[in-house]
Amino acid sequence: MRRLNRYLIFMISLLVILMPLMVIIVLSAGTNWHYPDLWPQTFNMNYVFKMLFSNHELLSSLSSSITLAIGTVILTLVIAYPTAIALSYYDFKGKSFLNVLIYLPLIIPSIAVLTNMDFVMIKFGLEGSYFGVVAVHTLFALPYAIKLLVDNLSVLKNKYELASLNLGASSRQTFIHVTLPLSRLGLQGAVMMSYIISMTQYLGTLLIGNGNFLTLSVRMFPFTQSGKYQIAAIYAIMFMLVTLIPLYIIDVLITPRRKEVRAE
Amino acid sequence: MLTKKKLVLLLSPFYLFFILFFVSAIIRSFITSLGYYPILDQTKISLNNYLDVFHDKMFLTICLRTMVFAIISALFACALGLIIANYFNQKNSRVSGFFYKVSQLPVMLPHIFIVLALLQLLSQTGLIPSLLVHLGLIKSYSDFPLILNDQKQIGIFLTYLWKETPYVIVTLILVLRQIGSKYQAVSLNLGASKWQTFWHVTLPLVQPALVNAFIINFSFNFGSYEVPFLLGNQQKELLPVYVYDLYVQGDITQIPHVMSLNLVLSLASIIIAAVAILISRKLPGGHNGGVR
Amino acid sequence: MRGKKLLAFLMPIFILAGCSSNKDSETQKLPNSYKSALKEAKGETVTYYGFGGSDTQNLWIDKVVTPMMKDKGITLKRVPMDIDTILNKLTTEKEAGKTSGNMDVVWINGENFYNAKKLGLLAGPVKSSLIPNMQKYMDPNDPDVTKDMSTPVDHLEIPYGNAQLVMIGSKSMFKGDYPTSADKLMTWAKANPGKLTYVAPPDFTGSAFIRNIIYETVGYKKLNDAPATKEGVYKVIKPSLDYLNEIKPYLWQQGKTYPKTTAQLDKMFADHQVAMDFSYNQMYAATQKQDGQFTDDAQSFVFDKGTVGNFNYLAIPKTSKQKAAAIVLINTMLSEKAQTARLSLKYGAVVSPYSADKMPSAMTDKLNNSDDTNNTVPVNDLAKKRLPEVSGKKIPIIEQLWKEHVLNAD
Repeated sequence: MRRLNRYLIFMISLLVILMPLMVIIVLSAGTNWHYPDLWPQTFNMNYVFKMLFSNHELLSSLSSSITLAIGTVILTLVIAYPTAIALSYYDFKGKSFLNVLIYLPLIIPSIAVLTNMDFVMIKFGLEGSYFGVVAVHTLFALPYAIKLLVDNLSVLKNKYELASLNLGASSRQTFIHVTLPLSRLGLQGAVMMSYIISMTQYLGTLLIGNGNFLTLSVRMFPFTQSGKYQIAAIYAIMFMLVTLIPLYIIDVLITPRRKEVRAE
Repeated sequence: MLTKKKLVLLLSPFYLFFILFFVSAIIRSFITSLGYYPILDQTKISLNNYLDVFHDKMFLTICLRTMVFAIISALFACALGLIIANYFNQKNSRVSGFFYKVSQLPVMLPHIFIVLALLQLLSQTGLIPSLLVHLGLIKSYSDFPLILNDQKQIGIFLTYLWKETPYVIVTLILVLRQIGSKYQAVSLNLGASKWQTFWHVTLPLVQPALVNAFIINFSFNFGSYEVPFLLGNQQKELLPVYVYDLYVQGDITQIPHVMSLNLVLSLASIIIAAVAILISRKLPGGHNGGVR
Repeated sequence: MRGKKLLAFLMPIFILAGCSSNKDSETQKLPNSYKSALKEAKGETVTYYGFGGSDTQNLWIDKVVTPMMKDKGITLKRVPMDIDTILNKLTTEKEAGKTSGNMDVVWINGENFYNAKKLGLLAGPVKSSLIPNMQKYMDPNDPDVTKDMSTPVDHLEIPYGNAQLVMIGSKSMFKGDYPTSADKLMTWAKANPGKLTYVAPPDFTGSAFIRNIIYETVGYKKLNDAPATKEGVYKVIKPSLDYLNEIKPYLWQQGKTYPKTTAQLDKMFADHQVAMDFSYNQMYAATQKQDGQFTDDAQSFVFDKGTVGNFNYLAIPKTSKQKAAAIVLINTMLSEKAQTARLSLKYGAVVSPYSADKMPSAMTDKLNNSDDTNNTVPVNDLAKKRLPEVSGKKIPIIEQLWKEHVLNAD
């Protein structure tokens, strides 16, 4: 009975999560879909595949999406990891201030932040450059990355590092053999979130990128706005593929080592 | 241990990045909000824009409404996420492992997807009303309640719930996995009930992470534009839409005014985030991330 | 300690003040003649910035315009950017003192043109002598050539497309008797409650529909003569707001909510939830039918007294680095070949901006022959029933008044 219950809950959750994705897939391949039909009158999956793999525009935007995402992941980690270590291991003056400061990019309506950032970037001569766009993406990825790392690191605090140092390990050894393995799960989360945030940025990519970076989001967003749902859905499928596959690979690479990470 | 040098080293990348790209942008919007807008030959600096904000009744109403809405949606997502994460974490089986993978899906996809799907599913002539008509449960689409663009913002609420509950689940499961099951095992061995274990052991352990997730979700709900634009109700407008419309609707002489609105509302939501952090500190498990 | 921190936070100000604007003087002057433009532009890459959400227009540029440009030795790059973002960007660039940018040709009209002109963002004068196809097919005295929503064009933009509000009614729901005036619309609404609605402004078409109701109830002239202040406009359009309030309880959801986008209204119309749809594209019923969105049930019509029409335009930002190539691009887009292709359904069936008496007969015939099969209104009728736009400055005011007095009336 309990088991049945559990499967029921599981199935419902699964349905709620997956149903919208199914709708998008049907939407991408179906035309003439009117109330009260439960299935579109014409359904042509070939069209979708043709669009996906032969459309030059889609493929080129794919590559610019991915290059930006990779840059964002790297820059985000470089900034977020030390910050998270400081926040979760140590007490210092201004810590609570920093704790709030981190959320700021999410809170302020992005159009205001971005317009002014555009100004700053022009002044720095970074507007339209790869680094400029990566910096914008990073700004919005930082809150997620730092928080995920902090959540993860502060559970264990730096007891293990202290032990390692007390046992005579150098701080470099400690970092490589203790800190890094312990934060692997947090790092995985941070990589995932910053990758996703970068992939989904629209206005920032357009404004700061100055039209040089036509990513999937940049191309897709106008279609959703003007109700070209079928095209939008095709972009959406491409989007799912390029998000899910790399993240799945990362997951597989990390999972086998999870046992040794467990602090038991 | 913690030398000053080390701390500076750890924090400087963040501060450097933040000050160069973000703080500078905020400073510029602050200067504009004071009325300094040379492109239109406005160079007189005053606090008038800020005084106007507090007399702008429409803005204040919308601000309050958005705040309440953002808090409620974030709370729901956190509560639901906590329940599900805890439920599936207890069972260490393949099913829950699979579920964890699936629950990552919504985190990875942009909001616009779920908006797209909801429009197709839940609009009055959408798939679900169609299904109900086919099943004979309702006579025609007009019997189906208005869920999108409705006065209670159910459409936006559902979108946020769909996107954010999984985010909460993922963060909590990351923490729960890190902790392992030893604390719960000890608690259960000592004779505590499941409920007691959850309340006194698990919850304090994940509490800081939960509050962080709440603040992230709240911030997003408060500031994001696309979802309320597409699924919101015009009479009960939400702040990001209001601000965006002001921004792009013609009158550029209003830009300094818009900037002051932005800063006021940012300040308001910073205060909420700060209060949430403060409460988290006071709660069990707050000060040291659960480990004593 | 405190001082140091403060200093750190103020650092950006110093940096910003110190960074002198990068004065690369790559910006070109406008060429003297089309011939020299062609010569100068050879081998260059020119960019076109415009709304990217219309697949048919994208296709037209990629499949028709790009090859034509290639024949002239010029590469065309299309960047999907909506006009709000374009203006935002150009304004910021100007504020930051940037003198050369990426945008060569932008798609613009109305309020946005008014703002761009006011801020001095556009290059000019682009005289019609520079654009041979403009000289050939457009009458320099055409009201839409000289004024864009009552803002004098002053050779800062070139007509690009012709838009006019059309209503699309469901044959079965209206039983062939379309509400061709505001009064008829009111009568029908009262007899069929819940079957009509319009897209909420600031959406383009919703806003145009409201203006059209103003024209019906108080007339274009009164609105045009009204001062461009909130009070001034309110006084004049009060009867129109009353009209909209009178019809409100008979709208979908008693007018308590409105569709947010044209896409939503399109779907409601296609599902027969409402009887009427609107579009700024005269041929919309046909293109939607081709797309499988609408059926033969969708029939276009216009109000007897006419509907709002306007043009959209192409302009060259001052910061453009490729002004010669931009001129070539504009001329190519306005060529008979490109404009004729643009009339076909797969390219969105956009009516060309040519003056009625200068339009090649092949084009007029093509338009006229297709009305029946397409369920569209004949071009000549449309031209006769075309009403001018009011000042771009008044449009946000009207939208604001609608929000206060109609949307939030109760």
